[in-house]
Amino acid sequence: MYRSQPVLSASQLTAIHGLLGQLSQQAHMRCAFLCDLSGQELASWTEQAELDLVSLAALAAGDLMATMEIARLLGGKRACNMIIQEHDEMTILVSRVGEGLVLLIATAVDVPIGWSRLAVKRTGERILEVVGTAAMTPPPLVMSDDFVASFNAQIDNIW
Amino acid sequence: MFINWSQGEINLKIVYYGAGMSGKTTNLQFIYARTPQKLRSQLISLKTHQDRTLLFDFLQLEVGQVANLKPKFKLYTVPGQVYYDTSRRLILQGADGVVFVVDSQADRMDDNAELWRSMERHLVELGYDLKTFPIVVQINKRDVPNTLSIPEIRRRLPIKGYPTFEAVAIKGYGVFDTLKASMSGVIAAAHQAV
Repeated sequence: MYRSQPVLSASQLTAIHGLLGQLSQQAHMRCAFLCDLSGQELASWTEQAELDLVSLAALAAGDLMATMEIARLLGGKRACNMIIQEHDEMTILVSRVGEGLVLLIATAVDVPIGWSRLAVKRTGERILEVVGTAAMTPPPLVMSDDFVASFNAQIDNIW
Repeated sequence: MFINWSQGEINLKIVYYGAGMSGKTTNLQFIYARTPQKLRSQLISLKTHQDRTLLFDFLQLEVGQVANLKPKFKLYTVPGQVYYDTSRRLILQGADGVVFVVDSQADRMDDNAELWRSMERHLVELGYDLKTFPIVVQINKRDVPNTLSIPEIRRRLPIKGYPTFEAVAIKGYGVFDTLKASMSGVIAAAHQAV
């Protein structure tokens, strides 16, 4: 059997976009970003139009997974997984949300880390409410029966 | 697999797995070089000072609109050296398919076999069913001395029953055959799941 993974509905994603947008209005935020632990970007708010969100998701997930593994090898019991990077221009916080999601925020350096940490924690909890309350079952079938054949023809055209 | 229903995107993850120096990164470098810019992301490589993969390489590919969906593929490699086993397990999380890259050289068969066993172990621990999980095998480095014959490699490694492609990744031979077979397998599995 194919291994099942969470599927978010359009309304869930809209709600999560809203939460990230709210977060950005509360302090000077450079970026607020949600991906999953396998490196798939899910939702984002950013003031930088050309930000490479695809690479950001892969790297944030890899960073958090590596840090969690370090903790596990040292015998750490998870209460909260969070990585904080302090830079001259900004502060970056990467936090695990629930079991499988990763929330990253980048704030201006004048935003207190304590506030950012709390904001990440609260936003994470609200994201979990959105993900948890809505149905986790897939929406109606959208991959038509000829989808696989169409896909194979398409990749033969590219390569 | 992550499906963004509002934008009609289906995101799938393929992991290139195999022994150190078997050619996993070379596969991604060739794919990157030969894919139109509008269809690919940057190639991200987290390397050691010796230019070996430390955590992973990463490349996203798009294939445009297919029927009512836009499939996107995240390609990852794992570090091949034996002591990076933990990192390999991390990268396999959430994978929708694996390309196992075999080094054809006779003196690398033990490494190939060990990495195959570790892949199976990690996949089982992560909850995958090996009977249905899409694995494609690439037998790479067919152009170098000391390579074993294909029948001998099939005898030495438990790859029977999996789609298998010969390759010389550094020249691009077999790279896209492997990729397309993996993509098709992953899409077919996703079709079953959705």
